[in-house]
Amino acid sequence: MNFNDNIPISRQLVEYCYTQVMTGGWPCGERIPSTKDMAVMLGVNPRTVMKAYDELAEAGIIYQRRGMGYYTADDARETIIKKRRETFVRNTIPELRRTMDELGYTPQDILNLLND
Amino acid sequence: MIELKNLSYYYGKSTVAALDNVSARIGNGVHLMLGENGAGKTTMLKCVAGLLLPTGGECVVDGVSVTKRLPSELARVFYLGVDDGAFMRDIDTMAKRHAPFYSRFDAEELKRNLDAFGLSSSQKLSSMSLGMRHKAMLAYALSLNTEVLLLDEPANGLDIESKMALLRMIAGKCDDEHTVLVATHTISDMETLYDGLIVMQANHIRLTAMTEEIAERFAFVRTLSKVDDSLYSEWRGGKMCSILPVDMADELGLESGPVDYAVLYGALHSPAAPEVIKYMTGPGRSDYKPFSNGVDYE
Amino acid sequence: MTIQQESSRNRDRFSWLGVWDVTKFWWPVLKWEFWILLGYTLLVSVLAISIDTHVLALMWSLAVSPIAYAVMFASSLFGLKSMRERFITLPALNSEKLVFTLLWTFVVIPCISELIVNAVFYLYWGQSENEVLLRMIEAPDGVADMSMEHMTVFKYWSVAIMMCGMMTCLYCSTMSRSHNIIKGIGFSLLVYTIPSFLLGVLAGLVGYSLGKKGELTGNVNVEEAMNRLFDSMGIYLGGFCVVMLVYFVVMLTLYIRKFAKRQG
Repeated sequence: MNFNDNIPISRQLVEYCYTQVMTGGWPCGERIPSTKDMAVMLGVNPRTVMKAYDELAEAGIIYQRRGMGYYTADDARETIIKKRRETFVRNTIPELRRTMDELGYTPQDILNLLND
Repeated sequence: MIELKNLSYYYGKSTVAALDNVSARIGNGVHLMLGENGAGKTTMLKCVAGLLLPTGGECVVDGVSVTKRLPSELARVFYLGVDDGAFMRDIDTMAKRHAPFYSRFDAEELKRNLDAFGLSSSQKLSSMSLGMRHKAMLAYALSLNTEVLLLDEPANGLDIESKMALLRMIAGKCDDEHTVLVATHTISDMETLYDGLIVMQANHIRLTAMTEEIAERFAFVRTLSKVDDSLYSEWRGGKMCSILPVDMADELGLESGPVDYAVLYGALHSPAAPEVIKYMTGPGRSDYKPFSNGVDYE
Repeated sequence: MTIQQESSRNRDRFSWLGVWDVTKFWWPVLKWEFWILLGYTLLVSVLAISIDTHVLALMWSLAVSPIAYAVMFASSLFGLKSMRERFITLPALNSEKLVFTLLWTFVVIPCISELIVNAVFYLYWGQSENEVLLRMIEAPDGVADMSMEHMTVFKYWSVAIMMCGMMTCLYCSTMSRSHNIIKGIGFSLLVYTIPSFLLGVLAGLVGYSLGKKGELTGNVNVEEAMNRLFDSMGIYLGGFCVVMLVYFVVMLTLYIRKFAKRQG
């Protein structure tokens, strides 16, 4: 995995985990690699992985079972979709609106473009 | 835990100190030791290893002074130098004659490491190319599993794949039981790894800090044009890399990337250095906490 | 989690097992000089007992001089840079390392040469090396009638300069920080040859002064003259031996004291 210079690594790791869940690389309800395994696999400091896992746990995407490691939540995919929808509404839609205004497109125009 | 207390070293009859009254406390984890050639990195590593005995001051590893050269303490430290070639015919011989002195030696790990580098343990080291020999020695050094591992320019001459393999091997050592010091004068592709940073300059330690602490205080941003009020900035890789106090970055709505050691190093060698250091040590944040490592600055 | 030590012994206390471990560490390097020296000595000894005594007398010193040098320079291998550095940081006691270097240099290596030669000669002729050589030299057309006494003195002298040479080599190759092997061999060669050289000069001077005093005029009986020379030299030889003994003791003391503090 190649790391981007512009975004904190833990964030990039979180995105990586999202991708794993969405593509099925990490099936829901199953065990995921430990922080150490991830660290060794990707060549990052376990502490950074820890940070990423903490964030994912807080978001409810993964959970920790005492002495057994980390597992993806059963509804992980749904949670991610929900999060991404939120980001979409919060960031992408306003951006689209701005562009539409700039270029003079109406919502109907966009609909037509999408249907092509 | 490695403690350096007013450590000084003079080579032979030289009046110039290779290490000049250096003090630091280095905890567990992987630390990056930066400094230009001749700054004293190798000398410092050799002192910690017990290879050189300090001219002044002392070096203490886990509470035991290194000068005594006690076996129990020597078995906890391993130093791999820049041009450390083979000292025996092949890795098998080393595993047989040298490794038994180190109680945590893991033969399985040695095999895994060699496989990762695509090397054989029975091949004559003198017949290998410089790069291959270096990789073999790295594989061996890591498998000794010493509590303290001192690597001088480990990624020197390694191709990208090998660097990645090395990165993974060292990542496995990022825990409470190990301290790894990686000394280099060029930042290699192992930036994702470091827990801490030690900057050496002119035979002094300029700064020691944990990566977390740096990240808490500074934002490292990359933009297309200069950011006003940045503490330091330099042109690198087609972008303007700047260091800003975190608060300021938040205000400007700029997002910080990972800690950029190269830029930080540049900052510490520029006129902005005193201010950077001041910001590192002064209370600039509401949740200020003192460093876990000592800081030596001018 | 503490990991059990491989062996439960306390490595921070001197043990002969520790010395043995150190030997095992050095063996891959030292085995070469061990076997070569052993092989060569055996070869020369066996050849000696199979050739004519006349030829033996002539060839012997030539044949054994490589052995003498090999024994003297044996400790130069301790100067091999990479091994030396690893040796300093090797997890063994300084005392164990010290004992090992001394035993190897002054016991193991000399024993190979001395014991083998004497063993072979003794088995074949029932005599020691010196006795055999004396017998050779005393052949009818021998140059001088040396006594066993002279041979013994000569042997002491050889041993003395050898020991000084060995000690110098050991010291220089272990303590120097650069060019260890060259310094070890170079300085020991100096220490080995200078006394002999001085002794030779001295012998010349003594011989000259004896001649001047007119004690060797008239019918010069070579045998008697040689004996007179040897006797006069005896005192000087004794003096030299004392000086060399002092040198040896001083170097050995320095070595022992500075060993633990050597810089890598």
